[in-house]
Amino acid sequence: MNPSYDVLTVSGRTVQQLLPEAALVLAAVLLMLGGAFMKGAALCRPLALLALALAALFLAGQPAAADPTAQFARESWRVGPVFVGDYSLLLRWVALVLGGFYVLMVPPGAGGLLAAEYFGTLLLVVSGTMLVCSAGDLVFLFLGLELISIPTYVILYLARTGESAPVVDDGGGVPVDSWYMPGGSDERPGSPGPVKAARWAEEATVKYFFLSLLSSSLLLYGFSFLYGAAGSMDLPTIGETLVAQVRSAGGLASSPMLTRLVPLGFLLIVTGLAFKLAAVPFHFYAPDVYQGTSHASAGLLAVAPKLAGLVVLIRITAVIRPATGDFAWQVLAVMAIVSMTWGNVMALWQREIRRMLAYSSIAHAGYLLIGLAVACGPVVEAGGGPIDGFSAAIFYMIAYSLATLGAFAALVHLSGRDGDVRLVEQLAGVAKSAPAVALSFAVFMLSLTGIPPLAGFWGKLGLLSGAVAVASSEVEPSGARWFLVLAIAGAVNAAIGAGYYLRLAGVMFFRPTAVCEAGQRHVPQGGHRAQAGRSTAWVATVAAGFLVLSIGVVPAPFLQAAVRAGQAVSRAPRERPADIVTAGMPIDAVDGRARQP
Amino acid sequence: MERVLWITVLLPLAGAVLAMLLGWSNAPAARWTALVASLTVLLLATWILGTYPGGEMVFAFSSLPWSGGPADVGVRLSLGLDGAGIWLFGLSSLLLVTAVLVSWESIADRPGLFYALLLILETGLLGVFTAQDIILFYVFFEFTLVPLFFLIGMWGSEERHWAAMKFFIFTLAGSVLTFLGLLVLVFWHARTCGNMTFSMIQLTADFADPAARMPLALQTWVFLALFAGFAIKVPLFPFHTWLPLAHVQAPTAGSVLLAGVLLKVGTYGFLRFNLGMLPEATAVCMPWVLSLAVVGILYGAWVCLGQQDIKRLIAYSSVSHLGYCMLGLLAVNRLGIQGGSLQMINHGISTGGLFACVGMLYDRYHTRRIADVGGLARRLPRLAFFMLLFALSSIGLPGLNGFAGEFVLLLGAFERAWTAVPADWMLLCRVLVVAAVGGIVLGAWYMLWLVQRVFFGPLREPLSQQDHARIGDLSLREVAALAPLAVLVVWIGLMPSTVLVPMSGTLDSIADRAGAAVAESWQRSGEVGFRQVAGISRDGVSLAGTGERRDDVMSGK
Repeated sequence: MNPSYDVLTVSGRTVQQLLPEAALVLAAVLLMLGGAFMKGAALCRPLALLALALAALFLAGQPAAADPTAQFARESWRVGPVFVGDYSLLLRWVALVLGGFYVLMVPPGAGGLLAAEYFGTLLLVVSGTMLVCSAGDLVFLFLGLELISIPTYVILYLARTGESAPVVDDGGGVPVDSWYMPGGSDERPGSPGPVKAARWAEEATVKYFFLSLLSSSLLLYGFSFLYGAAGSMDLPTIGETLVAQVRSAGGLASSPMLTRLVPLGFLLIVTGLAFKLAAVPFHFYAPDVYQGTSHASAGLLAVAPKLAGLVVLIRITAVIRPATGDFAWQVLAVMAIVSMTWGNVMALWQREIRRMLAYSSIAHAGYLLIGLAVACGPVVEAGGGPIDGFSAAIFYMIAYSLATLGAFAALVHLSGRDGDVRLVEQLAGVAKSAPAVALSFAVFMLSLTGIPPLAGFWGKLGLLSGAVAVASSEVEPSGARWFLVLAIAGAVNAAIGAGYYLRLAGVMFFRPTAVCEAGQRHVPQGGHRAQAGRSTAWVATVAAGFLVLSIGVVPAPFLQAAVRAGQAVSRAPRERPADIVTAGMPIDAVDGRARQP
Repeated sequence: MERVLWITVLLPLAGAVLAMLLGWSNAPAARWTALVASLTVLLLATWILGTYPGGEMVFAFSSLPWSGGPADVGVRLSLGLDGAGIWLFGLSSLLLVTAVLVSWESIADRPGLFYALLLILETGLLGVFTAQDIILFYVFFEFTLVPLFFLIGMWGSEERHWAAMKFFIFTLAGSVLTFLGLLVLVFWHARTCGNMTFSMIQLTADFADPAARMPLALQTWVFLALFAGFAIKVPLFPFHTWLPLAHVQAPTAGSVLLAGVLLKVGTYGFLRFNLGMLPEATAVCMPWVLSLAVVGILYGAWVCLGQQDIKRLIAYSSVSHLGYCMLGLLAVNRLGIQGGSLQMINHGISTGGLFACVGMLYDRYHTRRIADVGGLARRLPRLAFFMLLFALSSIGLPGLNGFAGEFVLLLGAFERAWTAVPADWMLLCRVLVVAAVGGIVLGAWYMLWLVQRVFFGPLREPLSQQDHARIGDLSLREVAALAPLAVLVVWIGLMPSTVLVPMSGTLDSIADRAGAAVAESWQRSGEVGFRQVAGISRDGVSLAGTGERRDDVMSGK
């Protein structure tokens, strides 16, 4: 009997496992419904935060979380199609915490009259990311990814409409005239007027929408190859079947025809996910879309899809890497090198901050792929290296997300104060006018460069040491040489990246306030509620700065969590087929007792 | 003592936080906090140096887990002192006091941040010379860039943005390759010795066994990777272009620390890793690196002769002097390495002092152009005295510290060139060493000429300065900043053994091991006509050491 049918049965336990996600979806629906009756948008942010807190409560209260047994750590503990283990748990927490940052960094007045919808869709994105983290089935994975994509289209569009729509003051519901708004006229260089901004947002949304559809279809096509080869949608079953087929045929080359097509499926999946990761070859949209939308949405776009893409890629790679041979790491290594170099070199020439950070996001997608290439590489356990490829990529993702979100939150804060900050020069003198923001921003930039002792350094250490470990292990020289090239490319790119990261940090500290004064003449938008909104972005900035610094100084708990997660996801299918059988069986009780078929 | 070492390294950080909070806009609070913190650190460092027992053991060693992970696998916070780092550790704590004192009145803009960055830089410097974990070393190595980047970029002169940027990116570009090289060392060790460790003590001890070392080709690549970072930091000849810019644009305190200590991080790393762990590759690369060092000596000195800017001249003289340090280290024998290490300290003292003097001159006349001033000895006799003293020390006048260092390292270099090189390179090495001696003449020329033009001859002061009457000689604070350095110049000149003896334990063991490996690798590679005067090059002659061969490896707790 094929276990995959059993696995799909949904029980009460499944719902219990998915309570955090369900709470978020429910809160989103309530927000959107209630938004129609609410006057003003003042309550949206606290309500969204409340929903996130509730989800965190559910996540913390899950029975599995308190049970660090060996079985739990193997990620084989599952309820229906939902995986429960160190990998899904850590990443769900990450998604939830990042969700808090998204909500905090939304500028006041974003979404205009549709503010409730804005926050509702944000919650949907968070919930989608969390679903992806725990999905153990191809269909479920795809659903989760779409639950991120579709709300993102809405947010991309809403981001800019808020600026042209009249903002309602909570004082008495008096609409503020639109001529009063920053950017109300086109006289300021580099700042689009409301109409233009809305048009840019439309353009960004349309670009993102069509490319997203294309990438989704590629992803689905890739999934179909896996289904064709293994005859199942269930990931552990796919892994088990592929390992069995390859083993019985005595190698990938002599496997059944459909199994030999798995590398092609892998290529399609990676290409499809490259869109989410903003990695070459699907990176083209990033600069235009980031530039066209607002700071807050660009921050969301730089983090949420990338996190989801990484989670899915790791999950699938862990399962099918026995059937991909050398092809997988070769593809990933080439993508990594090209993405890093392209992103970093292009970022050097940018004047627009969001465009620059978009290229930075492409470059960091390349870094993440180093970890995946190492994990698929000739030596899986990397010669006793301190941290394996998956774990390094997970840790790197955490470091990257905090620094990038923090940077965008800083931009939101500064834009709220000085008018739309779009160009690098407009950051001049921030060190004097907003020292805490400037210090945090410098921390983010240095962390993204990989300067110790900040979070980004440990991320780079993990990734590069993985590549060096493969390169200096006893694999055949051609493989080792590839990984050496990968490591060198990663290291050199850190130095190239320093060029523009330092420019951003340097402008804040080295230049006197020049352009900021031009921004000062704008009256803060939205009266005193705008002050409150700015302070939440400020809180997000400083909190992210503190986290990046403290992860850098005390990396042990975070590194260990990443290592546990990486080991959990990569456990079993490749080495110990015996475990897969148990994994495939639905375990429908909290105490881990297998249900008899 | 372990605890004292930790407190010494971390105290500046606490001072930095305090300086930032108290002195955000209150200059006196900021500078007094910085002064008290740096003096306390100096006292603690002196105490540690006073109790240092010498020998090869790592002193005051302690280790805490950092990155976590199973058992010993993982990065650890390991601090300890040995002969190679001990004086650089002391020098950093001393020069920071100087740096605080010379900035006393010249820094008015955001004083809290300035002194906080200085103190953060001190933690980085103290850490880099005490780190006993390879990743921790790298963390401090790279971390020193950050405060200096902001110091140069925020308080520097006209071209400070570009200078800060160029300094950071140059150094980072080299050090990321160094990072890869260090990782390869660790993983090679894990592969051959079976246990994964980041401990420098363990790595040094295990790599003492030739069987554990890498094959020559890989070793050469790793050598070059490490060399990339260290050579830029030193800076060796073609990689020096960031240095004049950074030095000239940096505020005085930045220049003092940059020249005084930061450049030595490069030579220190070279000594620790390239010589200590990759001796066979050192044998292969020796003629090349030696050539670069000597070209740097001559080129730096030559360029000095044409400089119009006092600070720029001293910056180029650093290129020349660091060439001597590398020459000594590259001799790979006891005398050369001891001399090179002594010269690192000497250069830190004298060039740190020179930069401080130039800063004081700049505070008075707001010019660094040589042509703008002249005959100042009459107006500023105390400054002229200190400047002349440091200049003479930097030239290498017998009786002052520069002579002791240069003499010892040249002895080592001659010993290498005349007794133990393969025949193919013998001529090259001899020509290089002789040319290096010629560099001393150039050094005397440009330095004395500088002093003559600035301090002697008819009095000439910048026209833009309205009331020259107000310009007075050095204040008590300024004398206090320079006097300790001046005392050391004379002290080390008269009794170099005070510095040499504590260092010799560690240095001799590095020299002996590397020297033996170099000789063996040359013999093994079948160099025809390899000549070796028996007994001298292998056991070496030690000026300060006990003279007996030390075969036992350095070991920690």
